[in-house]
Amino acid sequence: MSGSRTNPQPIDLDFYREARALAGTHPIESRRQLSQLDGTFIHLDAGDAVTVVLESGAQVVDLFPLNRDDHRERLTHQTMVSEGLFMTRYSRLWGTMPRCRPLMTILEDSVVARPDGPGDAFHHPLLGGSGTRLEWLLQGGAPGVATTWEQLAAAGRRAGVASHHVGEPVSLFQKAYLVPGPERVVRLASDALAGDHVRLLAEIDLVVLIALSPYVDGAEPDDLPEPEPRPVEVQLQRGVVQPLPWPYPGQPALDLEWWHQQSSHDALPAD
Amino acid sequence: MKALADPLQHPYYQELLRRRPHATHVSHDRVEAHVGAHGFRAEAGQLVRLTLPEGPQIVDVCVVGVEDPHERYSTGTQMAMEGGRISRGTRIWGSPPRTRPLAVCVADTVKSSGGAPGLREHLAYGAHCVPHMWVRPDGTAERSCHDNLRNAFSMIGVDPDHVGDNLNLFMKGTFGTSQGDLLVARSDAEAGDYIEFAIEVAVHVAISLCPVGAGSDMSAPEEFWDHHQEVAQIRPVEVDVFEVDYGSIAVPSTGGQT
Repeated sequence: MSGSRTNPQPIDLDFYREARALAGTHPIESRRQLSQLDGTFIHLDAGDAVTVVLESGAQVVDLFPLNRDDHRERLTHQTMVSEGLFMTRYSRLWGTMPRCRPLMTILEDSVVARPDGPGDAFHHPLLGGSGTRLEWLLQGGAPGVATTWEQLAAAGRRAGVASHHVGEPVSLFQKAYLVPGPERVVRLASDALAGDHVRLLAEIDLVVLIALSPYVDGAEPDDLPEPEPRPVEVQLQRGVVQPLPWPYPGQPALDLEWWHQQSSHDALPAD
Repeated sequence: MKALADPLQHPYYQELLRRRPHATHVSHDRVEAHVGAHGFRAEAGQLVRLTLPEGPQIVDVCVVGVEDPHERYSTGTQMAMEGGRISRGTRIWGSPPRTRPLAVCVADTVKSSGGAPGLREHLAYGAHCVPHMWVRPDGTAERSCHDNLRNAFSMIGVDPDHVGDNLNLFMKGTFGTSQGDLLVARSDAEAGDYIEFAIEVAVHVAISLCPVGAGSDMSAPEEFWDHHQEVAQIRPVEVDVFEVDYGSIAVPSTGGQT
């Protein structure tokens, strides 16, 4: 056994390093402040970049991308098999079958985990922020608060996304570690500071659902106060870079005709 | 987070375990290696046992509600509520907005025999192999768990597009300490080992015999995906459904408040 990932995927780091550099100087087209627990969505074209910036301290931001034209293609927990449980710079958020391609790639992650915390704690977990009502109530949260899943579902409805397409988001700025044995994900207060940011490149045309976590900095206190989310700014950059084609150059393409024939839904839109 | 009560301490499960030896055998199916897939419906109150008759075999399992197939096993909810392990006493959680247990594991005979720290069988988070993992240069692929799970749902009239999150029964693995990488090893399950679930909500179940067989130590993942299927031994699994006479006791939901 080794520390290798079970399904390693090739990545052209030279391309993403250049994309990161380009995005660092690319003009920002729009800025939007989020400060309420009401969820929102943005539309991205392939090659756009979105940056989530903390304005006044740690705030967990849950993010769930879907193919703008085919909501069945959305972030999948299978990302974990290729990327690990925690995302960081150059991690890719993978989409569901049949295409199984990257939806977004993290170009920038300024968060630094303090060295005095649990050694295996990282930021930006997958699966860590479903934030269902049951979890919230078990945590002692107030009944009237919009949970993460409810915010994402509401944002999805406004964007025309059926709630059953809303799955597990990536929890940006959340710090967490895994308890050996039961392998429970324990959330910790984020080490992120005001000004910290995560920038993601859209690999395809997307609708991205975004919610501020009612856990605010991500900690699990014994007594949850009424949540007072900290504002974040969502910056949009258009046309930062032309994404790599998929499959990547030199990689074999899978014949998906069988999937089209078996699927009860309409044929997939052309890429 | 406040822990939910141990479901097996619920009076219903106490009674179930007492009456379990006298359960009625409802059905028996043997899923052969060359078939690789099986779909079935299980009713609330029934018991479902998956047995390895010939030795270790990873079994990927998708579960969706009969009433609403969009209510499905949810890896994220499972990790939040129970952690990444499945064994006796573990609830199997469905997706929001209902966020309720679909089943409870009531028996697990597998004994892990060491290896790296944390390695154990029955994972809640291991996903399933897809054709893209097995793709060959000509654009074709061997049958993957994704294909099997779709076929399994199709067998029972469930839209195969409902294949989503899944359990990895008899799969040995853990999270590594580097960014939470998934580490796996060969299963320690033996012939005759089984895992059994009590069903709380009527469900459709799809199972796949993973083409990696018992799994393997992943010292060289690239080589694994290139060559493993040529040598993996896929073994059968048996699916048995039982009914217990509960008298007037109703099937509970052990998920607490919603």
